[in-house]
Parts: sequence; C-alpha cells; structure tokens
Amino acid sequence: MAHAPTRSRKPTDLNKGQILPVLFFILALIPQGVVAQVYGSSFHNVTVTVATVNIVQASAAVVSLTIGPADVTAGVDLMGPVTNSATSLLWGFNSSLRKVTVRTNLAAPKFILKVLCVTPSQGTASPEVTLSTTAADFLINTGRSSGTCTIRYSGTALASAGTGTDSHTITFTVAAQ
Amino acid sequence: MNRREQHIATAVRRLAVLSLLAVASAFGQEASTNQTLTLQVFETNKIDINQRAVTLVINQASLETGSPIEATNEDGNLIWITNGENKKITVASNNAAPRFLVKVNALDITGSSGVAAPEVTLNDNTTKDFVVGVSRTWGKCKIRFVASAKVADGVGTETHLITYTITGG
Repeated sequence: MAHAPTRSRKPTDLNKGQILPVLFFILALIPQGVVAQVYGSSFHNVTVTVATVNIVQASAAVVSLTIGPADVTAGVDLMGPVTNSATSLLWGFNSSLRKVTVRTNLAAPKFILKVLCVTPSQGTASPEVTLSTTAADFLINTGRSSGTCTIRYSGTALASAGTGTDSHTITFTVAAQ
Repeated sequence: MNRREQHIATAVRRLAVLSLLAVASAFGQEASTNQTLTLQVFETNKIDINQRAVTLVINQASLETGSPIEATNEDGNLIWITNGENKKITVASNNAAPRFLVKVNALDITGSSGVAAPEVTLNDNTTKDFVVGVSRTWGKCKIRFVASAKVADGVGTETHLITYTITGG
C-alpha cells in the first residue's frame, strides 16, 4: 500500500494562527518615535511680533560745568564759554523718520546753557540749542537706525547774573518727525 | 510626541512670544532719558589796562606865573569785570615820597558799571579809591593823569608803578 508523501513538520514552524500575535508583539517593541518619523507629521505656527522700539540713553547720568576766573576776560561781559563733551547719546529706533528733542526742567536759569549733537553716526545734528523748558530739536532725520553722538554742553554767564549754581535735568526724547 | 509633550511645547511657545512682546513693549516705552547737569559760576573779578607805560613830560612854564605847566595823559584805558557784589577799584603807587605831583582820576566810565571817585593825589604809596559802586558788571574808563611840579622841585625823573585793584567795596 502506497502512502502519499507527506511534508514533515519541524517543531519551530508556526501556523497562521500563531504568526499574527507574534507580528503584533514585534511591532509593539518598535519605539513610537521611529513610527512617527516614518509615518507621522506634525506642525506648529511660530509668530514673531516686533513692537515699536524707541530707545535713547545717555552714557552718563551726571555732567558738570564750572565757570571760574580762568574763563573770564576783563572788559568782556560774557564769561566763558566752558564746554563739556564727556558724554554721549545712544539711540535705537525701528520706525521711520524719528528725531530726538532736548529740553531742561529749569524754567528760569541764571546762566546760559547750550547743547549740540556732535558727529552723529546717523541722522543730522540740529544747530546748537539754547536750553529751555520747550523741547527743541537735537537730532533729526533718523529712521530705523541705531547710533550715537557726542553731547556737547556749553555754558556762559553774564557778569550781571552774579554767582551761583544752576541745576538742570536735561531730557532727551524720541519723537516723530 | 505624545499629548503631554505637545502641551509642554505649546506652552513654551506661548511663553516665548509673551516674553518677546513684553521686552519689545518695555523698549517701546523708554522713549526718553534724563541727564543731570550742574552749571556753577564762581565769583570772578578781573581788571586790566591797555597801556603798560605812560609818560608825562613837564617842559613848559606859564608866562604869567612862571610855574611849570602841568602835563596830562588820557591814553590809557582800564577795563574790568566782576560778577560779585559791592566792589570798587582802587589805585596805588609804589612811590612813597614823590617829588613831583601826580594826580589820577577815572573818565568816561561806560554805562552804569561804576562811579568815578574824586581825583586822587598819588603823594604816597597808600591805596585810594578810583571807581566805586561796582557790582555784577563789566566796564571801561579812561585813566587821566595830571602831573605838575613847582619851580622849587627842580628837574628830574620819577617813576611810579601804579596798581589798580578790584576789591570788596
């Protein structure tokens, strides 16, 4: 009696019912990150907002000027001038066409104080200003720039003004031109 | 990325944007800056003359009296400035006992910069008033010298070193 040839079965062979659980088991071992890199995508929105920036700063907070005998000529009414160019003004604007004004808080000074913006790296220096409580142009035609200039103060006094001390608070302000 | 990580990332992004806005806003508000300036004026008194040497020559005599005719000189100018109060200008010679007579006074004082003192005789080396009432002013005047001599004084030359001083009045 002849027998039909039969395939011998190895002990490690899996049947169809066993393959699926094994496959799931292997997939479960793969890290989620690998799956995301291959099959996933993600996005987000980044919003950058730049506000109007107007910054102005003096390099030193205190300045002093002194008129004494060395600054006076006999027979000349005006004593001085004495000057101080030790400080600078620094600025940064991201708006078009800005200017810097200057004023003092001292309503009735005894002596004459003038200020000038010297060699600005950007913009145009205004003519020398005699300081008062009304804001006057110090630097004009500056737009979207950062820069610096030397602040030159000039003090004079008339003999008739006598002696004494003027204390000013000088304010530099950014304004639209 | 799990849900928790996504929430963290979203929160970080929002915080960054808020920080950027806050910084930009802070810069935007700082649109002015202040500087304190002190201008001090000390008391100053200065005086000067425009002519360092003055010569007076007496070489004529009056036909009527026979006395020498006095010599005058107004070439010199005195200039001054003071921002102090109640000052005066004095004059002094270094010649303690002059043989000839020299007088001096201030002429044509500008504006209200002082009042001329009466004519001064420089007959010793003491200090005498020349211009008074000088306060917070600058000024100018002519210096007028008058020299005279008596016949009995004879001939000769005298030198005076004249000093003008602006001082407290």
